[in-house]
Amino acid sequence: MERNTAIKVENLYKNFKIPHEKHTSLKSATLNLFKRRKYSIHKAAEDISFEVKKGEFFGIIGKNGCGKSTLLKMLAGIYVPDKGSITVDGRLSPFLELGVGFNPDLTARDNIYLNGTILGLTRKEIDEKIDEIIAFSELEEFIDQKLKNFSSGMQVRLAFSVAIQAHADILLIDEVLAVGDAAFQQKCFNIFRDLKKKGKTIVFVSHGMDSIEEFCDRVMLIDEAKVADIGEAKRVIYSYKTLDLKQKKSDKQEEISDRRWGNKKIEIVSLSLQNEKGEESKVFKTESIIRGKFGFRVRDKKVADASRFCVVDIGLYDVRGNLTINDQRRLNPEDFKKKEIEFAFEIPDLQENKYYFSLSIRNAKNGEVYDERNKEYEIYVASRITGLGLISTPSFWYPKINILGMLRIRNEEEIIQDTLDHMSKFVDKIIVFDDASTDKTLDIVYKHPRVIEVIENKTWKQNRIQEETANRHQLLKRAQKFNPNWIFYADADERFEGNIKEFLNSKEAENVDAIRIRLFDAYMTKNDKAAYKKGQKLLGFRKFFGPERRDIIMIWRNHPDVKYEGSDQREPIIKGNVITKFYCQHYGKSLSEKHWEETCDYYAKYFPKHYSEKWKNRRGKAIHQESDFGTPLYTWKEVKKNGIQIHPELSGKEAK
Amino acid sequence: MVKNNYYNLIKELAITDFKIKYQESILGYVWSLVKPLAYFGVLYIVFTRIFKLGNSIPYYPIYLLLGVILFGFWADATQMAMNSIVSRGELIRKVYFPRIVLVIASTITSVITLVLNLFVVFILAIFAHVHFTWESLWMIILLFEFYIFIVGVSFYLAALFVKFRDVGHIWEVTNQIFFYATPIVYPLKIVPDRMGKIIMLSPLAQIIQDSRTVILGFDAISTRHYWSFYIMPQILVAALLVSGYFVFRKMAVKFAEEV
Repeated sequence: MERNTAIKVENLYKNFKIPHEKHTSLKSATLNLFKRRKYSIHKAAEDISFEVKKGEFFGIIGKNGCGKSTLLKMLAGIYVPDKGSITVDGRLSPFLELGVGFNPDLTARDNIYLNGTILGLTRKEIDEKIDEIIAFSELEEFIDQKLKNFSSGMQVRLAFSVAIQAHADILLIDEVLAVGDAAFQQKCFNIFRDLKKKGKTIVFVSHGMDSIEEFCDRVMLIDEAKVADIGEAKRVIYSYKTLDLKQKKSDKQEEISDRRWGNKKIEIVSLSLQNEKGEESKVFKTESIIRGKFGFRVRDKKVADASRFCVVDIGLYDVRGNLTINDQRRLNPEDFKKKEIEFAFEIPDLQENKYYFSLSIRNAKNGEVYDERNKEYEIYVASRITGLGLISTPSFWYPKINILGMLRIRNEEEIIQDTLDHMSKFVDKIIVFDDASTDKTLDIVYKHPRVIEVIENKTWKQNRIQEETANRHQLLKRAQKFNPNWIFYADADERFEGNIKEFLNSKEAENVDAIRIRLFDAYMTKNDKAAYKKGQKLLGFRKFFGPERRDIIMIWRNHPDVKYEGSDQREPIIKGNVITKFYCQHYGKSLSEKHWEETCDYYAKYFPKHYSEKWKNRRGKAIHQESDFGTPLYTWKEVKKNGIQIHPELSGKEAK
Repeated sequence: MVKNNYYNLIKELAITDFKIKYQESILGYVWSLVKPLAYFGVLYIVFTRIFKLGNSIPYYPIYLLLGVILFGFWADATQMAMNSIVSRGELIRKVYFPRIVLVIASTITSVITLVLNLFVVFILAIFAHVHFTWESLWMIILLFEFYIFIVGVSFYLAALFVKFRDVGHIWEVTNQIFFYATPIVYPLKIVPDRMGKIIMLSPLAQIIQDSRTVILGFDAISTRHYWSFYIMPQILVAALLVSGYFVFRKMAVKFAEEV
């Protein structure tokens, strides 16, 4: 075995004999001694071979009963294969499920010892770690109660807290995340990230495609006891999903004999589809752009002469054969000089499913079809809509919205109520993007009367600098659906001053496309360091502000071309008349000393070097005598006059 | 799991079993003593007052109690070991470790009870003016042999019980027969000599009789009377252990699927 291979499986076979009558008593065994036993054979593994590299996060997916759990059990040594070999290099954790060996009649503490020992820990090791385990499980008060009095959620928490202490090089994990509430699942995911960072090898069986896609380097698909696909996560998930659909197809599927027809006077000879990143793909997210090109050949010259009637249709059919979206364009004489034509179209907010990409060239005048290739190219559209219906049209739920507020938040429990109330002064409705909050933020958000929609991002991703922009873009796309006149984007820790609403409704605003708002950082000072408490008004909460002024586009006239692009972009890209108006107090640095330290840690941990270094040095320096740029602080009244603009950067003038 | 940690697992499982066995009851462990003592009381009255069998034997109460407690250990340990695999089916289906761990752990639980019971016998023996000598230390060797015997038998029982649940009932009946086929309540000298020889082939009889000899310091009929057979029970014990181990290991491969 190569040195960097953790698990090597070669030609594994496993059959289960399922007797038609099971002999669990001697009598039936004796009576049937001379009869030939009848049993059916269930194939659980058939010629399975694969390798898992050291440090790899390896996923196994497949339908129920396909043999993936049996495979995992064979890896763990619980089942012995009929044929084939399994070679493991490294210490294998024996746990497949959480809480193995838990005894309801023992106290939680005793169960930690029992379960810990089963996972390979010694009593001494558990003695050392028990406080940590209890703390992680958040079950301090219940630790000396019997396990039978625990809810299943509590049991899982306890079990997981013990399980993560098991020291092994290779972990086999079977579907642990199906249980526990959202906050605890988040905790589990964080542990997974840590494990991944530590370079542990993990074999992970799950039905949750989101977690599979997020964590797994490679994925293996098992279908009917055989390896159906193995490789990069996205691709294998796609095969899994289409596999699933193949089985579903039987019910009322129309026979697609008409995949291609036409007189081929113009023939479509090639087609390729790419996702937004420019990669060849078959999986697309809703509201993303499919880019592609097709090649064609003109067989009949006369057709080219009548070019002004040639129309190309592109579209998507759903699995039942209904045309779901369609877009067309006329071919012009220039096109006939080319061999390939490029196109791009946006997938609307579709139901998650398989679709057929269709492409045809026809004559719009006489109805002649030159070449139509329907239902030949399968694509998979991944979506957050998994309910009924094909397309989501949320904009019709509300009457015309004049100013729509957008907020992107994460764990803002303390201030969010004030933020929403404050925003309500300026906007008519609010939509919120929640980036996997783990506290009570969402409870507050959902209760607020102005909030009409919340996009819940369930898994928090680490690449902040790209994620935040991507999240804003997703939020914006959603906002545009409601078709408001104006969009107002703010962060939860920003407070505004000015008669914004009145201005936007006034004649003055008629030729304005966007407004930059002047933003100043509020600072905590020696005599003004009380922590912000829930329920207080945040506007004007601090006395002093730094003069560094950022003029940020926060309000703009709704237009489909407005978008967030690239990374680390707070501002959307807007063309048109941008004016600078109004003021904003930014409390990102001055809610409380605790919040300051958390902010420092957050930037230090998740942001690229130029941010993280800066914030690392700021630890312990929440109380300011001057701004972070080394300039004296001003009161709110003064600072508006003494502002030094640092964004957008003015040529020749650099911030200190 | 590292090898030396199987020792930890055995320990943890044995302690768990012991705790659970007695935790719901108020008197706890005392029950494991009350049961043999009550049984002993009944037998004592029957065989001294009614049948007057025991009157000829010195220290008859201790003689009887020792027999009852050793047999109790045997019955309890084999019963628990037989169940050890089946009752932990969930563990077996989900974690890999050598299945022998479960058998050993369950017998250890019974050993804990035995040790506590023997301590009570020891106290009572002192009250009964039994004179302990250096020879009494042979008891340790005998207990060791007894334990090996139980483990050997347990391997068979535990493995067979997974496949055939009848084994449970069969074993219950067998143990009732063993109780009377072993000189527990009656002295061996009242049975005909030839039958005595056959009885003494059983390790169970050999161990009980030999313990009485070494503890009570008088010549209960023990292996000393049957020198020719002296080594037979021990050979049987060793053979059971070795063959039991291999049978168990062979069958253990399929436990996870069958249990």
